[in-house]
Amino acid sequence: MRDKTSTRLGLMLALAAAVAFAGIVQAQQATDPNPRPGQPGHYNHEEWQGDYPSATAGGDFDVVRTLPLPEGFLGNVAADPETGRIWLVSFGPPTAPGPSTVYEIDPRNGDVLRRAELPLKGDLSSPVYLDGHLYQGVFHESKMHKIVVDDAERFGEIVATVDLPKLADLNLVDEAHPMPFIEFGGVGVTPDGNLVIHADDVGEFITLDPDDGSIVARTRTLKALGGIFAAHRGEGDYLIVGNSDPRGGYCALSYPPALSRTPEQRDISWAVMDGASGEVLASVRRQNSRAYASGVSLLRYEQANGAPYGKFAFLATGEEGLLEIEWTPARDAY
Amino acid sequence: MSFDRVRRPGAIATATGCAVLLLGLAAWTATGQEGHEHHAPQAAASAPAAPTPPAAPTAQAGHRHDDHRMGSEFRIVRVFEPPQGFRGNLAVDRQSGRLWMMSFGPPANTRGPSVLYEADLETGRVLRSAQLPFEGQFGPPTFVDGALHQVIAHESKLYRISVDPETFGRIVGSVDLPTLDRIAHDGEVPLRFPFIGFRGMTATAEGKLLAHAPDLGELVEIDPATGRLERRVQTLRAVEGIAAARGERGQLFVLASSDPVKASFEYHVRRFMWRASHGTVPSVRHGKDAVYWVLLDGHSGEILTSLRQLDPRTHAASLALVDHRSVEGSRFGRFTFLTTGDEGVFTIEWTPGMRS
Repeated sequence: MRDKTSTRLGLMLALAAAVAFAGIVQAQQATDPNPRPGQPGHYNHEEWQGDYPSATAGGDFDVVRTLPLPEGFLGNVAADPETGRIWLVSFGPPTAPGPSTVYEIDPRNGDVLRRAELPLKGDLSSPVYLDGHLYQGVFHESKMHKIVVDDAERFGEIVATVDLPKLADLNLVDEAHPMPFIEFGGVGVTPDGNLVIHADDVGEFITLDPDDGSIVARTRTLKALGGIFAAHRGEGDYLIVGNSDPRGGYCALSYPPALSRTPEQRDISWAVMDGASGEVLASVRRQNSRAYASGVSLLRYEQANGAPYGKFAFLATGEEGLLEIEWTPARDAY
Repeated sequence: MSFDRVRRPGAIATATGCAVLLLGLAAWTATGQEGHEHHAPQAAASAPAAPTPPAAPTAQAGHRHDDHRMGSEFRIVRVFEPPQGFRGNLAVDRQSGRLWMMSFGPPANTRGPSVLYEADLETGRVLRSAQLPFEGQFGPPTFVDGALHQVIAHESKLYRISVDPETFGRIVGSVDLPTLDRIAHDGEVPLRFPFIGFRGMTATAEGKLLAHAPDLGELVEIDPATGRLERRVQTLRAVEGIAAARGERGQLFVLASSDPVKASFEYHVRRFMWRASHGTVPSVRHGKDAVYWVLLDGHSGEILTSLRQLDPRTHAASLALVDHRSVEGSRFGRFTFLTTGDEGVFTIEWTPGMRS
């Protein structure tokens, strides 16, 4: 009897030690920005060994309502989760036929409340709301514009522009890229009031000081995400939700398979990532998605019973207009 | 020496055969013979500028397939090594025989800043060099009006660079180039960036710059003094390097290199937008790399003749024309030009369609 107890105790201690060790390693990796290959301290991503995703694996994911977009609108959306206000910024020429325009729309019905033309050209990153302004990146100019949206008289006025870092500033060792600028689509706000951009080509979350554009932090993550938003969990902890269209995943990593390439049309994957480590926590793949893998903006984030990552309500764009989507990711929902 | 082309991870794996159709090159791939040549009808040389997108050679009225009996000659004359780690483009002044090599800047060049070299045309021995502040990948420099002219497409700028021995490599001027939002284009497919992605560039006998814009599928004549676009002609999209030469009867021959698989991939990547609905993704084509050598009519943009090389030693890269001369029995004459490959800088002679 004593031998059995000793054996059980030994096994339990060993198991506890293993769990503790795994926890330490995981915690270390979670806080480690994982430098790029060739840089000191780099470690390889562990390849996903689990099951491939199923239609229901990602938990609840539903389009709960749609709002109309301005006629011919092609661009991105931003929302303020505190007030529920919604803004749209359309691309400039030659990407869209008319001038780039910022709109504020009625969150109840999509009616345009005010609008202003912007001098921006081409494809633009997602705007993000922070302290009374929209921050609008023009990635191919390596610029971030600060646009007034809280003052009706000055709505749409660009009050500041900061230079953003370029690829050469990232010390990419032996990675060659044809263009000097960092291409980014998704932008979020970190709990400490900085901006976090997703650099598509290099697969990093880059945290920037909104006042001067300087790099605050870098975190390796997936490549080829479309849009992102950040959701704050308290005590500085935050999640990043992003989407990916496999047709744009020419440079996507094969990890995890939920975000790998498939031939289906509008087969969009959504992922929850840890803001500090860039690791994927959960993901879901939506076939025949009503939403594009494009700019997204958080409307509400709340805790939910049995849901490890809470419940997200966010905006995305699609053929039908502006979509409000609710997602409650399940644990390990790959 | 590193001569690999700039690739995104997995880029070539996703490059496509189906988009070759989009690029007007399907007819070439259908032949499946190394060194196979196509010849446009005689009338093509004097055809007016085509306002419509470029068509495949087989779709042109009167086009016929010719075979090896047409007598094309294509040979590598010599190869020399460029400076260590060089990745970039070439330019030659045919009158003086001077050769320049301009390396890309970071992040396209991971070994350092952009550098302009002057080198011996036959041996590649570097005679002088100078650092330049250019970033990323760009088209070749072109010698016009006593100076090199370098387009930096993502800046929409044309730089004038001295090649005098005392001021070698000094930027002595720049002009703005028009952007896509300021010029007329079909607008059929949205373009993500406002700048015109000029790729191949050459000098005309009139002292103008002739550039190829893959996004527009056009040959564009640029005034080097003002940056103004003076003439635009539709042609193939899938063109990398170009070099212009005058024919005996005043024709404007434009020698071009093309990698349609690479071009089709870039065509899709350049247009892919996360924030809109899309067409289909390019399918993967498994097979050998191929480089096409194409002779275009610079006035009409039409294909006059072409040659496909499988498993080529050269890349479809920038071209620098060293010599063009008449050859008995050839409609187009013999082109001697420089281009690049894994082994270094190649001097090539091509006499298209000797018996055509």
